[in-house]
Amino acid sequence: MMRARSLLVLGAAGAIAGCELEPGHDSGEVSTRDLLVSVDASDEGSGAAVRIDLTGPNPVGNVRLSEGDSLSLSIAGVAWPLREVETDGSIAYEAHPDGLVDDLVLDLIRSGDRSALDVGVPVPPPFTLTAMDLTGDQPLTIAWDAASGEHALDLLIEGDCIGSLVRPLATDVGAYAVSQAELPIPTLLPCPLRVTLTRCSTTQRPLLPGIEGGNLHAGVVQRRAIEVQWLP
Amino acid sequence: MAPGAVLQKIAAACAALLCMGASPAPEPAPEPREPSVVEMARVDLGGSYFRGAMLLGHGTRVPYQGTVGTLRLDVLRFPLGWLGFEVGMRLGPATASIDQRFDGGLDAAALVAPLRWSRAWAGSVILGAGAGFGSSRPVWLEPGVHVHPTLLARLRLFPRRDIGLLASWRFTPVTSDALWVMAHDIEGAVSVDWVQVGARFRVDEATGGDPRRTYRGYWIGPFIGFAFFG
Repeated sequence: MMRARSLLVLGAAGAIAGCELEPGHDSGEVSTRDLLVSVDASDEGSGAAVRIDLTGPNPVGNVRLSEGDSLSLSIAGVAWPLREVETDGSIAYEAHPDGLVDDLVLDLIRSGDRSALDVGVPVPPPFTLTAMDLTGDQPLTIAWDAASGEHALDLLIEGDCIGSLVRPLATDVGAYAVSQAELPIPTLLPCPLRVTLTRCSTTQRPLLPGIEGGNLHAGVVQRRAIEVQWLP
Repeated sequence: MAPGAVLQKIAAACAALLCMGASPAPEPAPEPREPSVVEMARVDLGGSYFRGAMLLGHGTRVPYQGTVGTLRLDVLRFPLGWLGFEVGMRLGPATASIDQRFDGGLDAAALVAPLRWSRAWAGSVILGAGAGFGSSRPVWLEPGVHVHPTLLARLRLFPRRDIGLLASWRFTPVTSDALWVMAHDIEGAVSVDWVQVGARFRVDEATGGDPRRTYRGYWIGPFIGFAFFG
């Protein structure tokens, strides 16, 4: 009898000790001023993808919109529906616009909290990439639509016959040339090459202008690729 | 005592035995002292489980839970008849899902007993007001010492001389930088002679943050101790 009582007490204590409370993921429990809105947008030239994650303070983590809260995305005045996706317990909101042709505009509408409206994510202008085939001792010349503003530009040249060459470009002037001497020696000619130019911009600022707390982190990637031939 | 007086007592006793033909009746035992219906000194050990929702950041509500062990000392005295005072102290470790802290505090209050009665089910109603200081309650408030006012009411009943029933309510409002906290402590206990067992309940209700929300916490736990009634 005594042993049974002891086991009962130990079991109850263990149940209490092991009963960990899971932090809520519902947005209704998370203040806009504690929210981090992370935007990852990419445009490969054949379509774009926008992923938005909402994160609360530790230990809340990933947040799901609930209780009348909503999030909307528009680009150049066109609304793009956001779909909730869950991967490995992580909740995100995704849209697939035709392209990142203008700044992203987010509206986070809260039913019982501060709304964050017209939250802009700057997007550099879209560009088209062109390149000429390499012949003789001509350099590889590429051209694109230049853009001003703070963003990073990376050039990648790759091919089965040369491996790959990565080169960050310091300025976005719309043209660049790579001499044959700068490229790895091809194992075989003609050699098909793939030239990829990537423009990345990041934005980090308060979600609510003039109000402490709540942040926006955004990363926009525009990538264009083109095939050229390295001819003998 | 003089030898003559001793002899006189012995003679009187023998005479009584001879006359009555029976043993003398024993002197009645003194009546046990009635317990005080207002005064008390008590020491007890208790434990509580608590859970609720806490404020995180500017206005995020997250759940928490924990346990606390408490040693309590309470003294209630009424040196001026209807007017009295009480001093209470608590200390013990608190382990919550947020962190681990030491829970301790001291409260003092002036008391008045507007109602007290004797005969069957003797008892009293005690009201009090005072102040105290102690570690943060609810436990998730910023660490530090908080000073607070206190209002309290006690009901005590003694259905028998050796059995006491006690109930009490204590209201403690606390303000922090961002919150208005109201705490209600409710206690029920039964005493048999010197031993007292009971249970304590606590409801913390804090309002504030952005957006303004209510954060509630609940405590429950038993205690056992020794209580002396005046």
